[in-house]
Amino acid sequence: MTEQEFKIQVLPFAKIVFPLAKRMLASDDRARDAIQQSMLKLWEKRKQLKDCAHLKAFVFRVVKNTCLDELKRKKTVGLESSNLLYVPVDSHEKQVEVQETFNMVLKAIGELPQAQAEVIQLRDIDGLTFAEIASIVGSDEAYVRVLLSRARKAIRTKIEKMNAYESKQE
Amino acid sequence: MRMNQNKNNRSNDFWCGKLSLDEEQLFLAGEAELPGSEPDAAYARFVRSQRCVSLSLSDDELWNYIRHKEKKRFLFYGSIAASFLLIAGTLFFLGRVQDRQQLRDEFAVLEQTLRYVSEEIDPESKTEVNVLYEDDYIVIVSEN
Repeated sequence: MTEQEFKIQVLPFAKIVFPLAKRMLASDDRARDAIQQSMLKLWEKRKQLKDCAHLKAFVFRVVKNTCLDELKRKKTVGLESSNLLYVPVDSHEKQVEVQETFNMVLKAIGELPQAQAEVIQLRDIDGLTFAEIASIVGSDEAYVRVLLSRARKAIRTKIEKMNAYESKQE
Repeated sequence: MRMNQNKNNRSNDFWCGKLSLDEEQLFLAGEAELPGSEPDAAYARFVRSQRCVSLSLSDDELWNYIRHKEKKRFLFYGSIAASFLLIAGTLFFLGRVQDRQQLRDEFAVLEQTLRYVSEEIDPESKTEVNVLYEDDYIVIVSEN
């Protein structure tokens, strides 16, 4: 892959994959550093990139591994919490009700098994196809579909339960 | 009535993972703007908020970072190679100097020995002197 091809085909993924880095590292600065390191790694692996079937998935995998290395190195956040979602500080949705529902979903995702949480984030937040997710998590598409379906159903049930509980309290 | 039914079906399909990626994106965008049921709206708002993050680096800045790191790495490995060559050259040079010094010392010993032998032999006695060199040994044979 030439310099020009890399700039056109790979660098634009930095913006798409940034939310994943931020979710994993829970910090803007650390996520930015991880993205820079990942792009450097990708440039070093540019010969492999040409034969890559799912380039987007490959970029996601490199960023994910860089973030995991960073977490191991710094030991500030445990590996088990690598699916931790951050709360946007400068969100325009500041109403109490919105914040409550936000926390509700955050809690519901936090309670999911790690594999399900990872799949649902890659699908709904990062907007990846089943094939791309399967390539990232090292599984097959059918299993990813099953994980996603289970994860969504679990989240829906949890939100409904939490809503029902809150309605009773009122 | 039918619209609500359709919306419910769409919602069920979404939660069961039966929609395509594009349909899911449309569904979530619609729910975030015009919420239907509570789980749909809550989840759609949550997803939207999670996507509202942007990288503060442009492609050019990323590329400059890559070039800068590459240059640094090149300098690092270059300096290691240069240091290695310098050390190897110094060792080689010192080795040569040492060898020369050793040869000079050996030659001095040889000269001293020959001088001693020639001093010991009476020049008028016509003694035949043969000097044989064998590695580190100097064998002097004299015949009367």
